[in-house]
Parts: sequence; C-alpha cells; structure tokens
Amino acid sequence: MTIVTRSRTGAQPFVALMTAEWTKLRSVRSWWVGLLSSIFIIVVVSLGGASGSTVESLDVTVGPDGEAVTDAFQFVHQPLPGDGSITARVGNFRGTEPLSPWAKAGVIIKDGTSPGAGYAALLVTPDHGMRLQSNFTDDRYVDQTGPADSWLRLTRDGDSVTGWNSRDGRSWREVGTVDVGFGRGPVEVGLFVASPDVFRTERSLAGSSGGSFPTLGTAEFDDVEVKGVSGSTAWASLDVGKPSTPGSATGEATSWTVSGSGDVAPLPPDTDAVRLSLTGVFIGAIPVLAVSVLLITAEFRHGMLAATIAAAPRRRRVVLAKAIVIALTAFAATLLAAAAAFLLSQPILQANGFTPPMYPSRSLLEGPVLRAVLGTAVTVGLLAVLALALGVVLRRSAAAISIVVFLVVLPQLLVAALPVGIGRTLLLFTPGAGFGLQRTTATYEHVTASCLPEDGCLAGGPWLALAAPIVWAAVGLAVALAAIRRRDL
Amino acid sequence: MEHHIDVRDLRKSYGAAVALDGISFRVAPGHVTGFVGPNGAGKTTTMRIILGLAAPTSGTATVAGCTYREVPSPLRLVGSLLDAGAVHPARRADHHLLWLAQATGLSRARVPQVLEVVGLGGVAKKRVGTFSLGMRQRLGIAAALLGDPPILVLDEPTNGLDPEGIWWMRGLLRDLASEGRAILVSSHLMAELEGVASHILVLGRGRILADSTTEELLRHASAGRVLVLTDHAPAALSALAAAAPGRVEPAGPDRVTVAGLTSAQVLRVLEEAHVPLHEVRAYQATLEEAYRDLTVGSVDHAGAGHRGEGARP
Repeated sequence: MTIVTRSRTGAQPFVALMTAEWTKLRSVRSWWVGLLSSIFIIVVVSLGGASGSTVESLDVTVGPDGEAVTDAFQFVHQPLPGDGSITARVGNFRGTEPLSPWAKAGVIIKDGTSPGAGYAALLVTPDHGMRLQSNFTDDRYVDQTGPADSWLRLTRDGDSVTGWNSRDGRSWREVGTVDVGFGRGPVEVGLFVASPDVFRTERSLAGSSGGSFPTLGTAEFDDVEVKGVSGSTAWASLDVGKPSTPGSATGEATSWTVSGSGDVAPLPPDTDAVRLSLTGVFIGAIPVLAVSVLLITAEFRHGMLAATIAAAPRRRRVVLAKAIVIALTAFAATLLAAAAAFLLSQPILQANGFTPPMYPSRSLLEGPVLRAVLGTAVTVGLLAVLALALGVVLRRSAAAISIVVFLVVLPQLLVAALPVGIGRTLLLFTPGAGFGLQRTTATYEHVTASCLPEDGCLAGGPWLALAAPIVWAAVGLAVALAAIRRRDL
Repeated sequence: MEHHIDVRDLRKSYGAAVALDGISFRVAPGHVTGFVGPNGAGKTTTMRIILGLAAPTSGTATVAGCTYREVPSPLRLVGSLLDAGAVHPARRADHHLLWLAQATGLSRARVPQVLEVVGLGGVAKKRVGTFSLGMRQRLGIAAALLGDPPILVLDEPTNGLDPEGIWWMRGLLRDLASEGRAILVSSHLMAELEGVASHILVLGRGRILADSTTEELLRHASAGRVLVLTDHAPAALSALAAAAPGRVEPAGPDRVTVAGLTSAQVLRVLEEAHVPLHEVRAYQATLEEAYRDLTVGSVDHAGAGHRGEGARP
C-alpha cells in the first residue's frame, strides 16, 4: 500500500515550494505596497540627499591621467636634457612634531616643475619605509629602509626610470623600474622633501571635531651627483605647487639641507558621490525587511502555517523556500531602486558642483559603481533572510521587525560617536556592514584620507564588508531551521 | 487499494498534563467516521498528530501506512481542515488555493473546480477577510479536496455553517464516503453526526470510550429501556424508583425512562400506584444519549465531578 502511494505521487520539487511562496508573497496587497514603498523611499530619499549636497568646485591640480592630485613640495633641481641619473645620500630626516608618517624625502625626476607633471621618485618615509613612486597613483613599497644613511639613485632611460639603493654608496641594488611617459625630451632632476598635513579627528557623544594641521619636514642630502648634464649646471630650488608651509633649501653642489611641506599624491574627494546617491537605502530597506518578517509571522498569527506544513511536511524546506524567495525579491527591489537612485542622482550632483576632475562622471557599469549598487542589493537580500529567520524564531511581527531595525540602523547612528578605529572595526561585525560596499572612493595606501565608518569606510576594505551580513543571515537561518523543526504547530 | 488512518497507542502530554492517554483506532475507507467528545477531549490534538503538525509523546499515527511527514505529496493523499480561520485575510480565495496547488504540484485548473464544488465559484476573487465563518469553512473544504485525496481529516467542519450549509455538508460527506474515501470528522455535538457517520469514535479525557458502528452504539444505548409518557412525571418517577432503585431517569417534562424492568412490569407498577399515563414503549436512544451515557460513565469511573458534561435533552 505504501509503495503504491509513493509511486502515485511524486516528491514535491523544491521549485514548487518556491513558486507557492512567491504566490503567497504577491497575493497580499499590503506586502506589495511594502515592497514598492521600499523602492520609492530609496529613490526619493537618495535624490533628496543628492539635491541637498553641494560642493564648491575648487581649482584642483590635475595629474597626467586627468585625475585630481596634490603636487606640492620643496624641489632642488636642475634640468636633465636626456638620459642620465641622480644619486644622493639622505639622512637626518626630522621636522615638526608630529612629523607626518608619510613625510617624503628623496630623489625625483619630473617632467618640469609645474604641479601635476609626471614624475618618478625614490624616497624614504618616517614610518612606511622606502618607496618607489610615480605619477601620483603608482606606489611601490621597497623595504623598511628608513631615512638613516640611505643612498638613493634614479637613472633615466627615455620613458623608463629605474631606482637603486645602497647602504654604503658603493654596492648598489636595483629596486624597480617605472614607465613614466615623458618621452625623451628634457626633464628636471633633483632632491625633494614633502610632508603632508596631519589629519586628526576627536570624537565624543557630542559630535566630531578635528581638522588638518600643516607639518614641515627637513632632510639632509650629501654626496649628490647628477650624470647626463653638460658641464656644471646651476641648482635652483622652489616650492612646486602651494605647500601649506613654505619650504626652503640651503647648500651647494653636493650637499643640501631641504625643508618642505605638502604632498605628492592622488587627491581623493572628501565626499563619495556614488555613496551620496544611495543614502536612501538605510531607511528604504525597512519596509522590505518588515515584509520579510511578515512572510512568516503572518502565518503564525493566522494559524496558516498548519496549512503550509500540511501541504509540505518537510518544514525546513518550507523555510528555505521562503528565505530564497524573499532574498531574491529584496535583492531585485533594492537593485532596481539603487540603480534608479544612482542614475537619477548623477545630473543633480553634477549641477551641485560634483564635476571632474575631483568628481569624474560615473557610469553604472563601471567596476566600483556596479559593486556599490549590486553590493547594496545583495546586502538587503541577506538582511531579508535575517529578518525572516528572526520571524521564524520569535513568531511575533513587532518584536522581529524592531530587532532587525535595531541591528541594522542603530550601529550606523552610534558609530559616529565612537573613536574612528573602534567604529570602523565594530561596524564590520554588524549586519549592515555590507553597506560599506557603497564606498567607491579609491583608497591609496600612501594617502592618509579621512576614513570615517559612517562614510562606509570600514576596516578591511569593501569586500570584507559582505562577510558580516553573510554570517548573520547564515546563523539566523540555521537557528530558524532548528526552531521550526522541533515546534508543535 | 485501500487507504486507512491508523492510530496506535498514541500518547501526548504537555508537561504534567496528559492530553492523549494511549488511544488506538482505525479509520476505514468508504465510511464517515465520527470523532466525538467534549471540548478538550483530545480530538484536535489527535488530528494534529495525524497531520504531522504535532509530535506524539509516544505511539504512532499513519496514513496509508506512512507517517504524514514521509508522504511525498501529502495533499494528494490526505485532505484536511483544521481551522477555517487560518487564511491570510488579505488574500483572495483563489490565491489561497493556488499556492496550495503549486506547493503540491497540482494543476491550477483544480482551483476553480474545487471552488465550484463548495459553492464559492462566485467569490473566487474576493478577499478571504470579507468571508463569513461559513464561507471560510467552505473554503477550508475546498482546500481539503484540492488534491482529490482518498483520506479526509476534518475538524468540526460544520462549525459556523447555517442549517442549509449543514445539510449540504452532510450530503457532501456521504457522497465523498460513497466514493470510497476514508473520512474522519470530529464534532463536539453528537447530533451533527446523526445520519452521516456510520462509525463512531467517542473520545473522553484522552481515552477512547467507544469505537463501534453507529447502529451498535444506538442499540447498546437503548438496550432494555422503557419509555413512559405521562402528565404526572414526578409521581411516575417516585413509583418506579421504588421498584427499580437508581435506574429511573426523567427524560423530559412528560416522560421518564426505566432500565431493568419490562414494559409489562412498568405498566403494573404504575397501575398499582394510580399514575395515569399515555403510553409505555421500548425506548429508542439518540446518538446524543448514547454519547452522554458514555461520557458520564467515563467521568464517574474517573471519579471526577463532571456529571454536567454533555448536553441534556
């Protein structure tokens, strides 16, 4: 009899349960209203955020690739008509207290003395060892060699510049070659010192305060030797660009003392224009998360779960089907809303001063923007699974919705009051950490930029941000599956 | 191919409270089996265990030889109605049946068919929240019939139905049984099962009190009793009580029943006592009385003061 029964009726495919759950979801009008209002809120609040933000278009220095850069330093230089090299020993690097950890002293070959011109430099720093840098964005760590007794050399062969390092001035090792792109024509060669402003943030419950403080670094160079120049060309010194504090240089021929302020580096924008066009997601996700909770708590409340379980007695499959359906729905709704919010915000932001070079125009399909929009949608999808799981465990709509909102929104509000480092790490463990993917501003190791957790700047970079929502959703689902299995309905 | 419901030694306790105290029964195909007992007797608990919604403390409940959870596509084997209110009020009737059909892998064409069967064809696209309790019962029956199952488990299906609805439900249940289905129908009112159930299970305080055909149950309940119709019931009562102590009961303002005496003995006793009477005949018990006898007896046996349980005629 049993065998006959089983052969007569096929096992329910999982997709059948998903179809049934989708029918349940779409057949309650107020849930549709919830989903649509999520989309509406995300778009409208984001556009409001974009309209309310303006920046003054500053006179920004532009690097060789059209990007915004900082190019300000004290430069002791002479022209180099073709191929050649510069060698110098750098030492006694000191300066204002505190000296920026990214203060730079070294040798440089630059395509002229105007700010933004291409360059290659071999330099030492107080805290970040020896680096071979070129054209602002390219930064290569060489080793821990600090500013004590380092011989540095750059040799130019047309477009390519090779760095060398020696501990005694006699035996040299090659540390790398960069392609700078200034052709075979004349360039400027010399010594340089730069010391970027130090950025400090003080935080308390009352709010944040802080600012940047100018620094000045001083280094001594000797055994300076330039090859490839005809006869004795005179040295000249100047501040390239506009350092916060004027620099100076004293010395002659082979021995110089150089003081400089400023930095030679990319200039990331203060505001992430992509993140700014997605500010509505936080609030807008709440209705979709409420629907995720209701998808199960409504069944508890109306006693409907008995009918569901009578139709599909393997309860964990039912919960899994619900989880997949609500995750995909939340993902799709958020994706649609975030893409619309981004696209509609762009003209508003451009009108408000978010213009190149500081704010290059962004396309939805470029890597970081796509990552921000998809990452936002994936995060809301995972949060929907967490919300559903809480609904399964708590069985009460109000309790589950409150906890979801508490877990997602509260840390974002609280974090602004915490010290930056703690906040960046703490936020990484909250379910909302995935919204860190909304940060599209490029981060450079050699640029100390403002990195506040409430701006989406979390410890560990953007991709690690997805770890927390994945773990929260997975653990929540596991607990929910265990709970639904045992319970009498 | 026969589909039974088999319940064996089923126990269910919630902490110290025992809801089911080792019950066993079988529901056979081709019959409506009435499942009666006072509220709280354990009928719904038994049905929930049969449907895999609650786990028994010990014992088994199987449908066609499998536990419910083992059945791959249960709505094709067992149709059930537990709580007619258990529908999201914002959902349309046809959508409620549609997701059930989809979860079971049934054609969506079944939805209008079963709505037609229960007489809800005209309100298929109305929200369930606007339905009366009777309409929700019909929707619950539609859901139970969706998979055309050989077994039906229905908890108080006539609840909230108007007289026309009750009449319709009785006919439907008889038809479904005549098609060879095994049907278990619970009720706390024995009278509702009269003329429908051909087999009766009486449940009281977590135990099976009776498990027999309706015919047998009635015969047993009426056995040897004599009905007296008289305008002087109190006088008849005291006269008969002297002849058969403890076996006389008032059955209404103008009637008394006696056990242990024949009609002739009753006539002689009343004649000697000069009690005028209209009629003396063999008593025909109703299901209600059979049920009352059983439940009162069980309560007495258990030693608790539940004499008021069950409706007096």
